Amino acid sequence: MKIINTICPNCSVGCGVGLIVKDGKVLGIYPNKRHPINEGKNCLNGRTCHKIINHEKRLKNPLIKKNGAFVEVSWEEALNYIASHLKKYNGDEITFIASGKCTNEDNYALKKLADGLKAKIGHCICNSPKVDYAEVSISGDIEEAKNIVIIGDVFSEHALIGRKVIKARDKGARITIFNTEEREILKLNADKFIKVDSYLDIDLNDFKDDLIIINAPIDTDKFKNNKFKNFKILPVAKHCNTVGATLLNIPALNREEYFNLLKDSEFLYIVGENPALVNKDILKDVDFLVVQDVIFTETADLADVVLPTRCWAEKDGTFTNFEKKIQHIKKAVDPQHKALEDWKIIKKLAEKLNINLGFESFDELHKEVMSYLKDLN
Amino acid sequence: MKYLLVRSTDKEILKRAECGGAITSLFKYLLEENIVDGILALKRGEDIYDGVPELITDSKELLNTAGSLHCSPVNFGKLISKYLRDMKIAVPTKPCDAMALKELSKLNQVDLNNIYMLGLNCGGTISPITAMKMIELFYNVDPFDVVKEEIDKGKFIIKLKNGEHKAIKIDELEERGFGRRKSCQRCEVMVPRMADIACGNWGAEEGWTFVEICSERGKELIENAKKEGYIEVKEPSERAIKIREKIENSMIKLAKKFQKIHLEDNFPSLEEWKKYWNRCIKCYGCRDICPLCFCEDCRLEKDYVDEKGKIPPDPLMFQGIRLSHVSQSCINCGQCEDVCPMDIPLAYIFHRMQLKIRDVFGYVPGVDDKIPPLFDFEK
Repeated sequence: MKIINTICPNCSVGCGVGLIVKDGKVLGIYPNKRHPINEGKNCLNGRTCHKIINHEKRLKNPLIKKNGAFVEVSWEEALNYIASHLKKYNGDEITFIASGKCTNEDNYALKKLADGLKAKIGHCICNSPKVDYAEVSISGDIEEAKNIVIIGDVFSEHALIGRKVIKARDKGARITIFNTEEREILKLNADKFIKVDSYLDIDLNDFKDDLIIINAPIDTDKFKNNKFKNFKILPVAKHCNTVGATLLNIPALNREEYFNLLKDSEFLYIVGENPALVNKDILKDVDFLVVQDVIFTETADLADVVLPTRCWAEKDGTFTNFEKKIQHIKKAVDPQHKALEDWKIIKKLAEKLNINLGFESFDELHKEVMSYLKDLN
Repeated sequence: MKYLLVRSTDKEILKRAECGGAITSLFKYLLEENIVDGILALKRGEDIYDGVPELITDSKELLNTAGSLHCSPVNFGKLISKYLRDMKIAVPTKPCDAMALKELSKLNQVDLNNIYMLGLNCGGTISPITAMKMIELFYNVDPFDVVKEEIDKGKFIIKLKNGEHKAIKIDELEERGFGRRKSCQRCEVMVPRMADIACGNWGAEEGWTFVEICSERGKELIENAKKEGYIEVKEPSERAIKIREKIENSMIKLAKKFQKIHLEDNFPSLEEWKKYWNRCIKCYGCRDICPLCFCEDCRLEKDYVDEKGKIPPDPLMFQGIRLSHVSQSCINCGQCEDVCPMDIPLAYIFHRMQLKIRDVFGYVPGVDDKIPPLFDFEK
C-alpha cells in the first residue's frame, strides 16, 4: 500500500489529494497536508474524486456503431474507421472539441491535430466566467482583501476558495454575495446577500477597492474599461483545466458559442464533453460523430465511434489552476482495461492521417507544452 | 530490564536515523526474519515537510523511512483498520497512533496480535504549511533551504543547506500562533506505553536510543533482535532515567496548562460556535478521517439527518451524532480539525467532551484496558 499525491480533478482550485493505492487499485483518498493550496483539506466533491476510476459506466473498449448498435472493436479498427471517414471532409467541416477536464498535454496534442487538418477547435467553458487569461493577471490574495464581492456560490462549488473568504472575514473583511438562488450557506456567511435574477445585470457601481470573485458565466471584458480601476478580479473556472485549455489558445466558448459551433460541424470529434446532457438535438445534424471519454455519456450514445480514455488517476500530465499555476498530476494506477491516454489516441490517429505531431513520447510532448506556455508569458 | 539504551549495528542506519536508529533496525529485523509482512511507515516525499505513509515490504527501502518528520501529522489508525487488517505489520506509533490502535482493538476494528507497535516519544507535530510559514517569518529562511529539522530542549531546530543551524523556543512560536498543532499542545501522552516499546532521545546518550519496554512482546523483540545482531544494548544510568522522567512530567504539566487555556479560558462562546457551524459544508471530512469512526452504515447519511444536501447541516444533529458516537473514545489526535475545509476547531469540542466523560467514568481512551463506558454492557 502506498499513497500517491496528485491534484484533484474536480474543479479549477487545484487542491492536492492523495490516492491510497493497494494491489494496483485506488481504495480511497488521503489528505495531503503539505499541499500549499488546501493543506490536506478537501471538499466532498474532491473527496469522492476517485469514484470515476471504477465508475459503472466506464468505457473499456473502443466502440463502433454498426446497424444502430455499438460493437466492441480493436484500437486499430476504430482508428482506421475514423481516419477513413475523416478524409472525406474539408478542414472547415471538421470540428474538434477540447476539454477543461483533460491535461494540457492532451489538449495541446488535440490542437496540433486540428491545426494540421486546418479544422476548427474550441472548448466549452461551461458555467465559468469568460476570461482572457493571457491578459488578466490573477490576484489571488483573498485572505488579505478588505471588501470581497462574490458573484456566484464558491461555498458549495469551490469550498477551498470559500475557506479563504471566511479567513478574510475573520480578519474583518466585508463580504457581499450575489447569487441567483437563495442559499443558507451564502446568507449566513455574507455581510450582505443579494439575490439576482441574472448575473448579467449586476451593478457593481457601489463597490470600490474590492476583490471580485466571479464564479458565474460572465464575460469579464465588461469590467475591462470601467472607471473603477481598483477592481481586482478573481475568476473561478469550473473545470480543473479550463484555464489551461484557454492558455493553449484553444478558443474558450460560452454555451451559446459552443452550441453554434457544434451545430455548424459535419465531422465532430468531442473529447471529454457531454453536450447531449443539456440538449440532445444539438447534435442531430452532425454527419459523423466521434466521442472520446472516460465514461459512456449521453453524447457517446449518439456517436458513430466511441473511444475509451484513461482518467486522471491513470496518467501523467499537468493542469493549470484558477491562479494559472501549473501542477503535475501523477499516475497512480494502470487502467483495468484498454483505455489509452487522450494524447496517445490523438497521436495514433494523426499517424493514420500521415500527420506528424512532432513528439514521440509523453516526456517530449510535456516539454513542448511547457515551452509553448513559457513563450506565451 | 525496563529501560534500555539501544543502538543499531548498521552504519548506514546510524547515519540516516535519529539517535541510535533502534526503530529502523528493529523494523529491519522484523521484516528480514519474516515476522511481519510489512512496515507501515512515513517515507520522506518532496522535502522535510512531506511525510507520505507507505507499506514497506523490502528492507532495503527502510532507510528512506529513517529519521523523524515532525511536520507530518498523520495518524496510522484508520489506514490500518481500513486497509491492512489482514496483514501482520509493524508500525512506528506516536502516542496518538498507539492510542488509536489500542482503542480500535477494543472496538474489534484491529487485532493487536497482528501489529507490532514501536512507539515514538512525541512532544507534538507541526502542520507542514504552518512550519513553512513559521520558518520564513521567524527564522528568516527560505523553507526550501532547510534540509533537516528536530525538536530538542524545547526548541525547534532547523539545519540549512549551508550547514548552519537555527533554533527558536517553541514557547515563543506558540505565543504567536505558530508551533505545534493545537491538539498536540494539549496532549498529555508523550510516552506511548500502550505500544510494545517506547523510544526516544529523552535521557539518551549521544548516538543511542532510549527504550522503555512496555510489553512482553516488546521485551522479546529487543532480546531477539539483539541475539540476531541487529542491535546492541546497554543499561542507561539512573540519572538518564530521572532526566527522561523530568522531561515527561514537565511536558504533561504544559499540556494541562494548554488544556485549561484552550478548553476553558479561551473556549469559543456559543455565539462563536454558531459562527463556526454556519460554515459547515457537510463534506464528511471529519467523519472520514476520524480513526475511531468506523460504522459501515452511518447515521449521518440517513434521510432524517441528511436533509437532502442542505448546508450548513443542523449542528445538533450532525456534530451531535458524531459527538455521541465518538467522544468517549476521542484520543484528541486532531485529524478532524486538520482536514476541515472550513477550519472549524472540531478537536476543541471533542477533546473537551472526552475530558467531561473522563470526569464521570474515569475512562481514558487509548490508555485504559477497559471497554469504552457506553459499550461496557457488563456493568
